[in-house]
Amino acid sequence: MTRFVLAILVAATIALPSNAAEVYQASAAFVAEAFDGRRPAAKAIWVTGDLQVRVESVLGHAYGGLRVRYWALGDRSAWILDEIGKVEPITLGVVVAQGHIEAIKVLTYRESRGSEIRFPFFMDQYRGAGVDSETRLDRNIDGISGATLSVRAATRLARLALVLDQEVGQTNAATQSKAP
Amino acid sequence: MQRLNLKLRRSLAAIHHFLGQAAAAIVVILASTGIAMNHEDDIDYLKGSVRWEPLLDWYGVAPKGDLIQFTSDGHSGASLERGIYLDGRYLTATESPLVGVVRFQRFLALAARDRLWLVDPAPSLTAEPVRILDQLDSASLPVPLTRLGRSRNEELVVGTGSGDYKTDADLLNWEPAGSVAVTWSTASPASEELRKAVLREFRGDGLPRKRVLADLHSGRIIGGRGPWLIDAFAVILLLLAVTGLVSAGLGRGRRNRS
Repeated sequence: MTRFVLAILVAATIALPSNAAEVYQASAAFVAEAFDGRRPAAKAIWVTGDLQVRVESVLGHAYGGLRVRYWALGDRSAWILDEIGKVEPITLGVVVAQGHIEAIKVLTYRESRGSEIRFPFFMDQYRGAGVDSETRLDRNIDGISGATLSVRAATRLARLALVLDQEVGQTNAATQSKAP
Repeated sequence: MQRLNLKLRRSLAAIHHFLGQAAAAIVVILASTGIAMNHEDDIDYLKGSVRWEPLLDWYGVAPKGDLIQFTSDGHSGASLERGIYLDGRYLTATESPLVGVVRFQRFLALAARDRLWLVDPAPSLTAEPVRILDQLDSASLPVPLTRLGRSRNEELVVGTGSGDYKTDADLLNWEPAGSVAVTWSTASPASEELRKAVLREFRGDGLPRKRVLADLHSGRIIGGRGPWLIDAFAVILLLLAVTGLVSAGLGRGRRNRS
């Protein structure tokens, strides 16, 4: 009888929603994977001036920092970004190649519900996506019932990565044009 | 028969009095909370929050675990549950406690097991909130971190299970620290004033008054068994009604006969 009760209690604990973060992939591993194991040196871009305005228009609020770090090789860049879903931050890894999303993955999910966004059936919608001149995604993303806020957060981060990648590309082009 | 009726009436009256007294306090609570709930959208007072600490303690709005504090350059960095607090004000969320706080250039660096934040603490005289300038996660740190320090050359140094690492001035790259002399950040006891400030921040806005009202009305305020107790008093009220009606009916019958 005691074992039966214990088993029920254990099962009930497992069934209860957990507030612990679910880590699906470490950030370091995501970046390494993005560059086939040859992780480039980290760089940083300052979120100031015009970029700050564009970032805030994408997120709908001020960015939580003055700079964003990224990893880049050639025309590919990788970004690790956080955004609040309902109350907790969701950490996404995004790889942008030639101005379009090549890979996007939920790295850490901290909300009590809505983690279905991590599955390929949802995330694959972003592959190949770009942004227009008004920083909107160039496609519609189908939501998931019960995960609306997480879906919106993921979309904001996808747009943010594309905008930041554009900025990095413009900065690099400007630097190269000034080079003797 | 008349004697039987009289006895019955007296018994019912006694039961009625007893139950009435027992239920009086609950009736007052139920009636007053019920009226308030009927008009809660019109009562401005109910749109606020309760921050009375004994009540928040009762509701379990209390942190689990200890407050861990580090000080540097006149500033206090503390972690409590899943929050980081700078000078007693909430800064950001964390999944692990702080392992150190040190001054870095003119900023403060705060480190947990797998995150490091660079903040501009800003002068306390301004109203501007503390600004997080940068944050590093496992992709940018040699995690897991066990301690944070600063070398004599003003380099930021982190301790990990596999050795100590120092970073460049841009916080972009890390390399083994070698035998550089490091002053490590160490935890210190927090003052009572800081503890209270952090607890206030942790508790945030407190409990909505509507929530407390609803819990009073339903009995949930005393825990899981509360609604059952309210149900039991509802049964008592039913018995009150029944005994009162029966007693009144018997009394009317007696008057009619006489």
